[in-house]
Amino acid sequence: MIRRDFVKLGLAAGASTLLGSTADAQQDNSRLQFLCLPDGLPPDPPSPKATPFVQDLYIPPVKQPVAKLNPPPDPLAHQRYEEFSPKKFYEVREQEFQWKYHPEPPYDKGSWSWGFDGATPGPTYHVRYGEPILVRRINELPPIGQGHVSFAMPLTTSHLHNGHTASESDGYPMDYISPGHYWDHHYCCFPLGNDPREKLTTLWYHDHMMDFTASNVYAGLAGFLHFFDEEDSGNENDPNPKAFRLPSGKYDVPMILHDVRFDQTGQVVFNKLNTDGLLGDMYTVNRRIQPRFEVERRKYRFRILNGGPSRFYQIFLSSGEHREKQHPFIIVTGDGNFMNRPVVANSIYLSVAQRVDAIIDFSQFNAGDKVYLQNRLEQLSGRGPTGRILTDPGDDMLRFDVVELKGKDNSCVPDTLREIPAVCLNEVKQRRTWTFDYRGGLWTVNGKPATGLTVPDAEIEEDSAEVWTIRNEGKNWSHPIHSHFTEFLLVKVNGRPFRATEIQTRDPQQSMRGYQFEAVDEPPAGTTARQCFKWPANRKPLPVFFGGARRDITTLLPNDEIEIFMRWKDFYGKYVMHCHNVVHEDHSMMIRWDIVPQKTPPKPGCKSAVAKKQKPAQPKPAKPK
Amino acid sequence: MLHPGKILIKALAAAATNLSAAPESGHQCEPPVAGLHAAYIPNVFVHTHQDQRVRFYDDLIRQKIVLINCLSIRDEASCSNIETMVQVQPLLGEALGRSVFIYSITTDPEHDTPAALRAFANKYQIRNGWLFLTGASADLQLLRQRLFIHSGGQDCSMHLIRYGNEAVGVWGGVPAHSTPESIAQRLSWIMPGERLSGPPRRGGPPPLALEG
Repeated sequence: MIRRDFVKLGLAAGASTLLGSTADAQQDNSRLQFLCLPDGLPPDPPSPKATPFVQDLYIPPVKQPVAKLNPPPDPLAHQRYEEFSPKKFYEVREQEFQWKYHPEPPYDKGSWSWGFDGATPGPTYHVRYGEPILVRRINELPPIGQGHVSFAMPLTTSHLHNGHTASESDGYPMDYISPGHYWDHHYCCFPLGNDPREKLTTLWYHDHMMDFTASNVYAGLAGFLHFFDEEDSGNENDPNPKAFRLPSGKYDVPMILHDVRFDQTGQVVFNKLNTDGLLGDMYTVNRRIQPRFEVERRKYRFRILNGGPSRFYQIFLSSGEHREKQHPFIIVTGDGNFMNRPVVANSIYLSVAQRVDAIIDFSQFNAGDKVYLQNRLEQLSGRGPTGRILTDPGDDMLRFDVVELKGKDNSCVPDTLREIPAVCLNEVKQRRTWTFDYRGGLWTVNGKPATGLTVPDAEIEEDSAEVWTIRNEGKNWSHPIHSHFTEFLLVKVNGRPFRATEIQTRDPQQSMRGYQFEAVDEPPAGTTARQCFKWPANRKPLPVFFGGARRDITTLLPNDEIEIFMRWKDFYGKYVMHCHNVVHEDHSMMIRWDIVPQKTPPKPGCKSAVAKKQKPAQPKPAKPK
Repeated sequence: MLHPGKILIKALAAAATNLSAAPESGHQCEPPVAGLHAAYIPNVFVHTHQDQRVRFYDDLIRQKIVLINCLSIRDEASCSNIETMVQVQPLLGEALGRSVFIYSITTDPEHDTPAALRAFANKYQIRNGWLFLTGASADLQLLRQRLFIHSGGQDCSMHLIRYGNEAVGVWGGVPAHSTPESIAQRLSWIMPGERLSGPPRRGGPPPLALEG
């Protein structure tokens, strides 16, 4: 019996007890929630079973640059190319291949997938601020009718989520290439306004083809890109006093979560005629079904990303036969933005495309211990989660197998991370409201579906700020809203002002709403040097990390209204805002906005909005048109 | 940047050659070959405005490249959708009726009889290859449910056009309010393609000065 049936009987809350709560029961994949189809359709058969934790986690390789590109890039095709001439060049190939999700039949024969350089997730890019790069993405996918992945579209456009990128390199949905062609993506690698507080850390790249983002990402076109700098230097032994010394190298592990459904031959199934959103019944981490990962008794940095297409997660770290013990995470970033201070939380809420960098210190466990990364958020349809938290045992996604430390752990979680840019309402030139709704079966923004992005829905002046109200008009669905190019600073959540030093959390007793806000302590007065972080012994972990003040996704649960402040600088051109439940995006929940030259002089800023370390403003960009 | 117009004409011309020999329907002696969405898209009987009784999946969808929308003669909003589709017709050129088919399913079968649909079709001067479809109310409801309605019970049949190439199994949706060019461009995306020989060609970005 599947959990959906219990819901009909009103027994969902106790479902896990009825299902049996032993570890063995937990390993029966047929009991994971699976795809709910429209009423009247028989449910698809569940994916073939696969024994959990028998294969190792796949770690994508770090992408290596090439000496030069042939033919060379066209400097006239990129804004600010000469100013930010690439220091490194990369060449990557979008391909179709058989990917082994699991070693047991039928998965052992491989599942036809798309990815980069023959793998999904694609390689991880390690990039440094101040070191511009150019990535040439070559589409080697089979043309329509020639390949094995039938549901996806072999026209591609790669978006670096949420890079501060010129429009022509941003992976705009209509900037697509067909098989046999390449597109050059130039990443200038400087933060917005050259303000060091605007730097990003954990980014991911994914396909953004018009009408086909969900299917193309589901097919495998996604991977990570990490930004480093002097502070977040990627070296836990860095002698530079400014360095954070977060766990690095093999202790810095990217994890992309996808729920996938397979047919009885182990091939990936995707229903492109579904408009609600799609749920899989197999949890994968880096495209391996329920893998294991051996960890030493030390700190690790996990960059955890919800890769979609439609499932929301609330992740827990659990141990015990019935997963009855929970262990907190130390969270240092939300959506690729460092917070000003680390926070400790018992669980992490991730709507689609959201990311956290979470530190787990395995020295609290003994060698031989088994610890589980779990999802406990109930979701029965692609439209959004119910909000209920599954009780023990929950759904396992990955098992950590703890072993002895093999060397010294010199890593540190610093007690101060990165200052968050200040909201300055003086800079605001325009206020806009965007309502997300469902009209006539189509997902709409301000009552209209996207119609090909032929004209901008908003024109935003370069070097200006705006305040946007993002509202969910729906009672029964959730939308993770993402806008390209610039980060959101939350101003209000459901009417309540949001302060830069606060973390959004939730009353664990309430399912959908009940947001709470908890201040993150200022560093102790008088301390100048950065110390390694310690959570006060008398302070409880937050029940759930729902995000800090700075994000690139605003999660709209039913009827939520969130006010955000954003700055636009440095480039011109066209971009999009869309729902990152990518099935909704593909069914027109997307608008186009353009950055245009200033029509009126810039508004004066606020003193508090200027960073102490800020360098002089960049010269104005050349106009793209 | 690809140029939609040129690509579309090229793709449609190629497709007209490639697919014109495709088997027409399940009326042949051999049992129908199940297509990729055979279990999903209902194979119900429908009546065309030309007064033919056909099976929806076997005769109209399997192995074909199609645009599917909905209409109701009495609903003005749906008339504007039909007007858009009328403007899509010339963009399809020779391909319409050979490699590409348009189906408009009524949401009001009691009023929209084959005769009423025929008169409606004549009014808009629709060409061969575009069929207006009616049928038993429950059957049409099922069709809409699979193609246009999801678990909330909301019906997007007046606002969404489905496009698909069932020979391959690839499907998408485009808002009905889109321009005729945008709708026709979708068809160019799902046309069978050929692998290019030689080194990869530059696809973009275009020189900034030329972008418009």
